[in-house]
Amino acid sequence: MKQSEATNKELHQAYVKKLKTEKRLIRFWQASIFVFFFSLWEAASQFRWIDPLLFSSPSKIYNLFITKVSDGSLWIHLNVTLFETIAGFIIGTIAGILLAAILWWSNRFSKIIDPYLVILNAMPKVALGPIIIVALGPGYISIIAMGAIISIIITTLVVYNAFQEIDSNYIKVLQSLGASKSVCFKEAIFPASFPTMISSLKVNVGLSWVGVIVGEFLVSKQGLGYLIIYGFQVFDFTLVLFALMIIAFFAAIMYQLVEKLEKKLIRQ
Amino acid sequence: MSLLTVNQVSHHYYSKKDYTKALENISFTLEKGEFISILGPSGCGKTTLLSIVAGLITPTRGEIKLDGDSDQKAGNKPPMGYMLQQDYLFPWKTIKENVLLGPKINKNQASSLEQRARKILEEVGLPNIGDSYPDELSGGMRQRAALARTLITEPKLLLLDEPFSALDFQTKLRLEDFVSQLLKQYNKAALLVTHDISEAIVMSDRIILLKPRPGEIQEIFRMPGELRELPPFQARQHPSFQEIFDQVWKEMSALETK
Ligand SMILES: Nc1ncnc2c1ncn2[C@@H]1O[C@H](COP(=O)(O)OP(=O)(O)OP(=O)(O)O)[C@@H](O)[C@H]1O
Ligand SMILES: [Mg+2]
Repeated sequence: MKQSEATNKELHQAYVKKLKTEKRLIRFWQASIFVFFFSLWEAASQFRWIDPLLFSSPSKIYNLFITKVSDGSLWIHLNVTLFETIAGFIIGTIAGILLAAILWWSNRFSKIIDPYLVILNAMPKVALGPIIIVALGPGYISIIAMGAIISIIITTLVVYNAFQEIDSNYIKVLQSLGASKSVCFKEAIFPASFPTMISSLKVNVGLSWVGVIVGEFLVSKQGLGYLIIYGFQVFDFTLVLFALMIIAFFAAIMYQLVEKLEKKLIRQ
Repeated sequence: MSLLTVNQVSHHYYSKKDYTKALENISFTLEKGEFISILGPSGCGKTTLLSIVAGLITPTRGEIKLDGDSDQKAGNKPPMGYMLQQDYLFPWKTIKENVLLGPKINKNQASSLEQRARKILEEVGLPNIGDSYPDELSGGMRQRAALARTLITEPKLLLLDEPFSALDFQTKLRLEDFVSQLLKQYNKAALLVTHDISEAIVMSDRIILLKPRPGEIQEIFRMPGELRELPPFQARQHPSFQEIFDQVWKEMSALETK
């Protein structure tokens, strides 16, 4: 009896150890790919296997990073783009959910509006860019609008779908207890669709970056998208790649934050 | 006037291609404090009938009348408590929050509610689980929690759709006694759907037997007075229990072979 208890413990320890080794192995390969990629890039650029004018090199980008940090200009551009993206993301998501709630509220309205939603969803929203800029002026408002509009319709469709999928018997329970339509929404529809809303947040993070960067391509005097388009115009690809990496880094951070939020809000 | 009058109710479910007759020409009344059970084969429209009585589905034909004083906005409490065939506990609410849903919807914020919830959970045999979530409970426990959620609003008329189906025999007997005593004590009426003939016999004053597809009333049995007075557990042992059981059983078997 005692012995089997001991071996059970050993078995468990072996299992934990195996998990740890596996994790370490994965981390090792991830780091290896990172190092390998950047070393290869650096070497290729140094030995002129690729054109350094076009593809730059990690060391040049790093130097640029140091200058931009020390003269403070990185923060200016970063702030502008982050602000626009977060604003676009929040507005797009909230407006999408509100629209979905309106559709849920009126079944007939949702049926009427359905083909228009399908068209709007299928249309590439960035094509609206010039019109938005003319309508809202060439400033950050337009860019935020770009960041928002790209995610509104898809959020509406996905969340509305989730609203409809709830088992109607939950509504019956509430109605039998005397609940009004708005109480049904608050007590059943909304909380039941919570996981869907959170997962649409994750999609919207990516979409808002697309909208904002394209918006900055079209008009802007500042921002990471502006740096890319400016670098392209003066043929400074170190600047382009530099901006690209900053974008990748912060987009990943935002995504991670949303994931953290998801873990926190949804009870496992 | 009777508490509930069901007058020539028929119900059809429509789809684009076809329609299903679920109920055909159902009429009966339910008096104050009376207990009626509905027996019938699966798919004969029992759930449909309860949903119609609860006002959740409008019948294709016929009407439901509720006695005036228990109807509409008597202290904005719903006059009926409907327990669905499955528990439909909200998975993101704790058991206590689920049980307190009715009072919350009716904006009842009495401070004694917490205590009432605890007491009623205790009585259905679920002490100390108020803070658990539904997915941590077994099927039978969930069913009892749903029963507690229905009972806490103290409705004039209870509509119970197979409330004891997921319970082990002992718990079932205990809860039958509990519900039956509760109803007697406050002189409340109930409409119970069940598949269990003996449960129908020991709980009810009358039993309505429905025919299959479309559900039509085959027969209404009136339970003898001596059985009605006894609590369910003791009624099972009464000599006249077997007699009435055989009678209902025969009638039901005749339906099946038809
Ligand atoms: N929402 C619905 N749409 C279409 N048909 C339905 C719907 N609900 C029930 N029906 C049909 O109506 C008939 C009666 O259904 P109901 O659920 O009332 O039966 P029941 O007597 O409660 O059965 P059970 O004892 O199995 O619970 C069935 O034939 C069923 O197929
Ligand atoms: Mg049923």
